[in-house]
Order: sequence, then structure tokens, then C-alpha cells
Amino acid sequence: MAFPTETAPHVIGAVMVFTATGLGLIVFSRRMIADPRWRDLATYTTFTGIAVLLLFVVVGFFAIDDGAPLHAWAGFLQRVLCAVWFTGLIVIALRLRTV
Amino acid sequence: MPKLEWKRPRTSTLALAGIVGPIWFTTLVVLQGVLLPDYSHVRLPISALAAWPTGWIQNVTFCIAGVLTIAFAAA
Repeated sequence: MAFPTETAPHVIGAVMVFTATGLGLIVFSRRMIADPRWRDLATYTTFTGIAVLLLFVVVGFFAIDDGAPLHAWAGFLQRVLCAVWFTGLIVIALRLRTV
Repeated sequence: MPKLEWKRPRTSTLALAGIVGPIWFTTLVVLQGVLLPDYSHVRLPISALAAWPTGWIQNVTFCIAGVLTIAFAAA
């Protein structure tokens, strides 16, 4: 079933959001290494960024379209992506409140 | 260093947005899925919630989450 939300602006927006999120986390992790208050989170942040990018590719290319091999699991896979992203966000936010 | 001292409470407050935003978004998505009998969290993407007659709720959720994300980025 093709949803009315899968329009070109929506797709472009999704690509921008998830790509920026993943890349942003990776960029942040490089800066974290240089700061002793954040160094212990650098590896976790790097892997969170990589996971967001990989999961976005999986959702975008293998799940979201009709007939895609993982289409029946599109919602679940997207929620896994959001769970990884949101957990990383909350971890960073909690640390930011203490430094 | 008065500027640094003033900055810390603001950073700490804005960082709350990074906690509230994801929780808000997740709560609203789960709630809508529970209230819409034909919606499947396994099969359907989150954006599909915007295609229902109550889609305005999801659109508002997106907007609020976006604002909170921007606030967190400003922290």
C-alpha cells in the first residue's frame, strides 16, 4: 500500500533528517574524543551514528517500498532506528546536563 | 566568569529538550497506534499515522519534536 505521505518532499525530508542525524552523531563523536568530559561517550556516539545510517539504508531500500523484501517489517525496523537514535539523544542530553 | 556561570543553567535547561522530545514523540506514536484499530506498529511506518483522519495529531507531534530538537541543538 502506497501511503499519501510518501511524496517527494516527505522522502527528501526523511533522507535529510536521518542522514544528518547519523552524520551529526559521528561528527560529534570526533569532537568528544578531544574533551575529557565526553571522551567516554565517543565510541558509543560513533556507533550510534553508524547504526542510524545503516538502519536508514535498510528501511529505505529494503522495507519501505511495496514489494520490498522486508516490507512486512517496515514499521518495526523504523522503530528500531528511532530507538537507537532517541537513546543516543537522551544519553547525550543527560551528560550535557552534568558538564 | 559571569557569562560561563549564566550559560550553564541555560545549557542544562535546553538539554532537557533532548530528553523530553524523544519521550514525547514516542508516547504520542504509541498512543495513536493504540487508539487506531487498523494501525500496525510492525507493518506501518510512523509517517502513516499522518494519513489517518486524525493525522493532524501526528503532524503536530512532528512539529513539536522538531522544535525540541532545535532547542536541544542550541544547548
